[in-house]
Amino acid sequence: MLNQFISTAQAGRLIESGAVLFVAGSGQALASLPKGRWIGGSTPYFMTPDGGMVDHEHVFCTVVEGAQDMRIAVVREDDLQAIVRDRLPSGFSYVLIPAFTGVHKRFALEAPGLPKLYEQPLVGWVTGVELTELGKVRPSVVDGGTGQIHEDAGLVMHVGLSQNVFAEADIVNLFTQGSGPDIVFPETGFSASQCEVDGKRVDFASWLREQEVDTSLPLVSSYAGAMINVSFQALLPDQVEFYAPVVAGRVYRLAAPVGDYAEAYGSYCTGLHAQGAGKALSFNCILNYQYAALQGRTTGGFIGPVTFGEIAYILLNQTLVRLDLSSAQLGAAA
Amino acid sequence: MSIPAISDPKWRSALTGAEPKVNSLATKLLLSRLREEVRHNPSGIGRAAAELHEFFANNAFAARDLVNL
Repeated sequence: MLNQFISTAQAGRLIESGAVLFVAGSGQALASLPKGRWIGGSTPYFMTPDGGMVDHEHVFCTVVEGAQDMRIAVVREDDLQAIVRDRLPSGFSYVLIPAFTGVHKRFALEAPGLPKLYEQPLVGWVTGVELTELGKVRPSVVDGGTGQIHEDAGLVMHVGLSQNVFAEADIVNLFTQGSGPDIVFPETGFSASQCEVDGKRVDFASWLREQEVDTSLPLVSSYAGAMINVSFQALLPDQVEFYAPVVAGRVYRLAAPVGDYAEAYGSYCTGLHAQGAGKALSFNCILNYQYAALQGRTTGGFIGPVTFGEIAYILLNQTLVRLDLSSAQLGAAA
Repeated sequence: MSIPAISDPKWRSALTGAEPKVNSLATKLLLSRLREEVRHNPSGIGRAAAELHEFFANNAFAARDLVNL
């Protein structure tokens, strides 16, 4: 993967060279690009080598080196199957979904159960807008093949790789489960009023206030060892809202404190840099950008778009997703 | 890659016994989902075991996790 934060003119030249590209940029920057083998999602937030920034003029491009073929499909609310249909052999899929849409909610709730979802790497992100423009400008995705802009549907690009290239999706999470009580919700959804805390039924919003919980830290559940976050969106008088759904019956805990969020995040990014994050396809969450006060700040590690939700098979929050391409070693693994 | 037959008890054991330590994110997410489903609906274990078997049969990348089931 080749990651570049460049002008739209430079991106246009890359597109015209025939490269397979993933592009992140403001809606107007994406709309100015020529047709080609790319899909793009809206965000004006980026982590660049010069630090976190809001930028409506430049775009973040990832060139998929080793791409042999690609197909682009529209992902509509009533057809999530498009995410897994028509995948190319020996490849991966990259999905972009506009925030606050029906397809966003449906993906969050139903993607974990999509047949064959886990049989090829799926990564992607939820597109957004500048926070000051919420309610005025809609998040979007752009099909570079047709030039069509979608605000109510997502896009997926299925990428076929050469046979000796192997894609692997993974996540890197700053958070782990804390040592507090087990929290279990009775219903799956983006909000909750009641839950069980160590087996005792409580009003969740009241409990969070009584415990003076820092809601910048997410709920964390272990999925067979993978730490999956659900971030708090709003603590209302009698209800709690989340950026991803909590799942009924699953055990959550409040995240372990990380000390100074910004400092912890900086150390975490430096560690990623040592692992070669600059050459991976990766994206990170707007909540980390906000809570770690990354604007104007150089972390020395992660570069990429800052997103309104991350996807590694399923919807994630406050998590860095990465996709690494490497020479296949499957023979050795088998 | 040699995959144990669908009748092998390891598939059901992975869904109801101690949580296996696996490495691949895909395996973790699928295994976790299937274990939750079986916990809520024990009668669905046959279908869940078949799905887990199919996942390993179709995906060479998951081979490194097979030894841990």
